[in-house]
Amino acid sequence: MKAKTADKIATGFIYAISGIVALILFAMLSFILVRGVPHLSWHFLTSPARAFEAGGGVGVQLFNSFYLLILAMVISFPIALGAAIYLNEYAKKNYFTAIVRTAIEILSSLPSVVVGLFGFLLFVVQFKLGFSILSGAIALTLFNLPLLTRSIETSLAQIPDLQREAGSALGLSRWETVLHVILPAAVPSIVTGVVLSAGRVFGEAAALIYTAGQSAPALNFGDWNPFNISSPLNPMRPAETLAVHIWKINSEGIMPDVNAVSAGASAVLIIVVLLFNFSARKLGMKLYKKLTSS
Amino acid sequence: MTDKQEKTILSTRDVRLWYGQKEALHGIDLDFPNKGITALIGPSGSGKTTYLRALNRMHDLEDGVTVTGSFNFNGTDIYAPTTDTVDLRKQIGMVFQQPNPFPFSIYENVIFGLRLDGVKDKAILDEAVERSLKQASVWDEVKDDLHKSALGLSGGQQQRVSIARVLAMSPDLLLLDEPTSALDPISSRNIEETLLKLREDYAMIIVTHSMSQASRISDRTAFFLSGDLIEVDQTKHIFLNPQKQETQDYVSGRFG
Repeated sequence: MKAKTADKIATGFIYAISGIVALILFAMLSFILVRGVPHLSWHFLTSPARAFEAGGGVGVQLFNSFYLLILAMVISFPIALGAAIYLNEYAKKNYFTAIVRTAIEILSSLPSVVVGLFGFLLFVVQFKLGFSILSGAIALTLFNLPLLTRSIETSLAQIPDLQREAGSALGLSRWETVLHVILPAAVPSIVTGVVLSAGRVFGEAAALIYTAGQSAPALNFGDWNPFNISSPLNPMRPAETLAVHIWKINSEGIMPDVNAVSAGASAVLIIVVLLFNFSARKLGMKLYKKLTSS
Repeated sequence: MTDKQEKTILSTRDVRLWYGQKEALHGIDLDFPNKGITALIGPSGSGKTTYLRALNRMHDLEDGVTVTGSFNFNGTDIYAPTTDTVDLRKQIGMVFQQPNPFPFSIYENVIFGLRLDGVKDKAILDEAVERSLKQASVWDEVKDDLHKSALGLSGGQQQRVSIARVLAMSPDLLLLDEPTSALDPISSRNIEETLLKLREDYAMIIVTHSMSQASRISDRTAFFLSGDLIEVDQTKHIFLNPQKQETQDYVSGRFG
């Protein structure tokens, strides 16, 4: 009887705690959305920001966020994939791999503002890349690499060893097994991990303030030559992202509708991140069905 | 049953194997004819699976395993430094305890090895799929679902598809590591019938916990105990008239 009562109390306690967590999340989300959604309009999403007068949008920042995200992913994904394949499929347990793993763990716990300052000193100043999309993308890569490596490594580790044995027993080399058996089987969960990390990268501000910069020069969306300074694709131009924009206008914004812009931008950010999170699982499941023809 | 007339496909001498410092096989001498089924029986930990996995160098995948002795397979030394394990495993196929189809369609599973070998001709691939699945006695059950996932099949069907996948590579020798122990009795029965049909064309070595299975399907039986080969003979001799006391005790169910 006593054990049963204790069990009931413990269960109730655990339920209450998880309820509180869910409630806090829900309250935060609805606060941001309720405040921000009324300000959203096609105009807000597409027009450039205005520094001194009302009626500005976040179009350039939104574009910058996506462009930086894509560049950061293009740089970090191949590296993370290679590192994860090495760690999960090839690495023996020895001193060297222990160091690699520890390094990845430490890298993943670095505060992003430190990553940003490091990127500022090395890429912006030392390598003279300036406040640019490229500097920002490299900083985001440093920020993203350890987490993405971890997530891909976990995806690979979920594939049972039976599959590796089956591969080698069929006369496949280890690389062929990785390429033709392990990776296809792991693709859905790798994709889920990539999209989830994309959500995190999308909302990152601290690593970008000193690397991609805090200014968003007006862009000419008719000019797609990446060598022109006003071209959206130019990787050497400074590019304030949505998250940095929110931080900036809240600390020093002087436009009359600063609160509305801030609320609207926050809502856009949250909605995009939510979309990433919801689509990650769906996409993974769809890919799995397609690849395994089940 | 008349293995005297047949050629030897694999001959092993003084096979010893260590896990780290611990010797797990204490010098095994065993020959296998190029047709028919040899069963390896013995209690858990007797070394029968360890021995089987030494034959296609599956221990290479593990750390800290040392293998010595001579392994003569069709005139080549399995453990020679020049031996390509990839080629070797194409000639010595293996079926595992757990059915392990890849998470692809049945069709893609069966032709997996051929495709990697660069075979592109659809007619050849189609033919290989049909022949292998027929040999593995699972064609009739899956012929309408070839492009559905192999993971959707029952355990017994998955195991026969795994066998078909190995057969598609046209191996000379088939290693089976307790291929029915994860299956229900009816599926096990199907696998056994499949193996009995394949006996005419293939050399097979099967590790089994089930003495009744060994007596039903094998031509020869080898009894392992604590890393030693105690006795090897025609199956009926092992079960009816064993020469060694340990064999007698084991097959009569007095231990193990």
